[in-house]
Amino acid sequence: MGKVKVKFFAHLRQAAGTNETDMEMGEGETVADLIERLGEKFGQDFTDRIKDPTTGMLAPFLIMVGREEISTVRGDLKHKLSNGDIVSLLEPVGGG
Amino acid sequence: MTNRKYSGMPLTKEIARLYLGGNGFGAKILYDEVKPGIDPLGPENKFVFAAGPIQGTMVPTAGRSGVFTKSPATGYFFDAYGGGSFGPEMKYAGWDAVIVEGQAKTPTYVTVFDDTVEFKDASHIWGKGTFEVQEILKKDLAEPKVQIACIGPAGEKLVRFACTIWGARAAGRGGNGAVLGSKKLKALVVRGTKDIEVPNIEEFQKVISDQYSRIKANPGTGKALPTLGTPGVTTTNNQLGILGTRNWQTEVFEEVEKISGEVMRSRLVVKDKGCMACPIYCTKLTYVKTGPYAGTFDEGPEYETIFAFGSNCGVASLEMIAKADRMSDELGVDTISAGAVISFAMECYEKGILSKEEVDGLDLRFGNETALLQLLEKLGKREGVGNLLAEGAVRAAKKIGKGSEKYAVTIKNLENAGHSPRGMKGYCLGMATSTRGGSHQDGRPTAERIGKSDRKVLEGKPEYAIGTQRATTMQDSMCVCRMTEGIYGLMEVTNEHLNIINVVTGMNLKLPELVDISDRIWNLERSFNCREGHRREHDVQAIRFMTEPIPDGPSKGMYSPSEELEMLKDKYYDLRGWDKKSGIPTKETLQRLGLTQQTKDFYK
Repeated sequence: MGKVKVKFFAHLRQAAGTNETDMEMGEGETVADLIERLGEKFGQDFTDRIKDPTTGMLAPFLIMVGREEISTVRGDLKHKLSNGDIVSLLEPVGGG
Repeated sequence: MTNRKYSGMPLTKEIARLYLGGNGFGAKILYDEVKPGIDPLGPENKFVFAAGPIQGTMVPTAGRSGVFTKSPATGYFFDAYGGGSFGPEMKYAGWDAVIVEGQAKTPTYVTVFDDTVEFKDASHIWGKGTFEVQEILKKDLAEPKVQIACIGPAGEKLVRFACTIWGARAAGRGGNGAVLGSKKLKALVVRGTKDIEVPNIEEFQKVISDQYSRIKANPGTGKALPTLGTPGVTTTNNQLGILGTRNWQTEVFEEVEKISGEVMRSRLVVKDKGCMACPIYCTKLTYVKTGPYAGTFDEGPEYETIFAFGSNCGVASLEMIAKADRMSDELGVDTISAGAVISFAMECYEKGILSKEEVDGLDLRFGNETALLQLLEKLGKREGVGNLLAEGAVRAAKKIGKGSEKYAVTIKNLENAGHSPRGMKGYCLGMATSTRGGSHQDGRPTAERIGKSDRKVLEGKPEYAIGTQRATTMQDSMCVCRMTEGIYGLMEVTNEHLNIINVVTGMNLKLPELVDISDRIWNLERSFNCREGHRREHDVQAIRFMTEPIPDGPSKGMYSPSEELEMLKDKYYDLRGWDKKSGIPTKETLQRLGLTQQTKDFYK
């Protein structure tokens, strides 16, 4: 399919060691697939920042594909990605 | 304070069961003991320090406590909370609440050492900043372990957004510090040596140990907040297009990367710090090494302060924000309102409504760091134009006129905090119908910001507003920290609240009773406000948010038109059991919640 650009925000930048990265994605691959690939690329600390390790469930946070907002708990993570998509991972946190 | 007298009374089981603590105690005491129509800065107002049932135990985040009074900013019931260790020390001294009434003739500080209370002369610390005051009193009393709640020069000068400081924590909002200033109470010093007991220590340890593990595993409380603290929200809000910028003229800040939590971590943070009994360590101690603010040591800044002195004033320097935060703590001003009043003045200046002469020669353009810091000092001491602006944005706008009223971004006379009512429909309604108005702690933005609820839709938002208000009221009555809202429940009262309360108190409450407690307290606050004349027509948003769509960015076009808000309010009032025309809780609602006095007051 091509490449998507992934932008990290807040503490996900620390975990990834970068503000953004390009990911090669295959035809028909989805946001859910991207999340798994990111976990494989950036390791356990990154995964523990987006998934609760005791439940294995994704924490609630927003993923933006362009300006479209996809919720990890409410939305459709089977949203198919396209070449050139910009995907923003926003942080799962309360307080503030 | 008037006669330097004190008395104590026991907390009854009935009051504990009906009102729980913290927020509940504050609301109950103030409704019963403060007559409607009194001047918040007069002798008839009362000021309550109160803790919840968990303070003094090792329940995670049990360092918190609150202050409660009639606000000189809103004229309504107001509650503000701070972390640290003040609340537990009050409980170790044997007190769930301390009520301050009357007015001293001369500057005074009060010590509460277990059951011994003394009134002491504060003339040697009057005029001093809050950190210096705490250092002096610890030396004077030769008691390094005391906890001290105090006001700075701003409270003494009755600045309408003065706050109360303990340690470096602020019970920030609503001008509560000015109420203490009006009573000439410079500081309340507490030291306690008593024990706190729980009914079953093994059960208690099991429950809190389980919660502790979940806090550490949760990505929000176990990773995000420990890494960046609340400043991590800055870039998230900007990416969604909901970061208040230049007095909320827009909601995207082009220089956000210069004031992000990420940059703060790498350049300023020297240590993580936790409040008492807290495993999260969200606080960041910062030090400015170079540049014009070199040597600034700060506890913070938090996200709200980064928004208030940063994007909302057009400033792109974390170092200046840290300096302003430190100054605010020492002066004893609420950073949110101080920043909002400054941004209001900046917009008036740029639009020609305030001339340079009228602002003491300051070049008050957005982004001018020097002018911001100079104006902040003036605000805290009511000097020059600071005297006008220390009245808050709404009162200042009334005096300035020339159409400046629409630039006062306030809800119920309280300057808006760092979250967007235009960009989050549920939060918008939650604020409009709240007790405090411009606070982000009655209705909450979190569930919409993290996608648990769709921020752009109206469907379900009356239920959302009520659910978040129930959750915050419960957390504030327990006095747990808001950073645990994701653990306890963002949008409802849950078994998490229940289990902690029952294992600490042994009251064996059921969940419906807990919801009733939350509703009782919320309706008591509402009754206080309605007794002061508050009605449906006052449950509105800031003028800017109701009339000006967000002009650009990912949330372009969003705003809160009046007809939309009125439609949501209809449903909200129905669900709350409030009269649709007046906004007063109905007789049935008050009776259901056992609010007998309030039933008599409104339905003779």
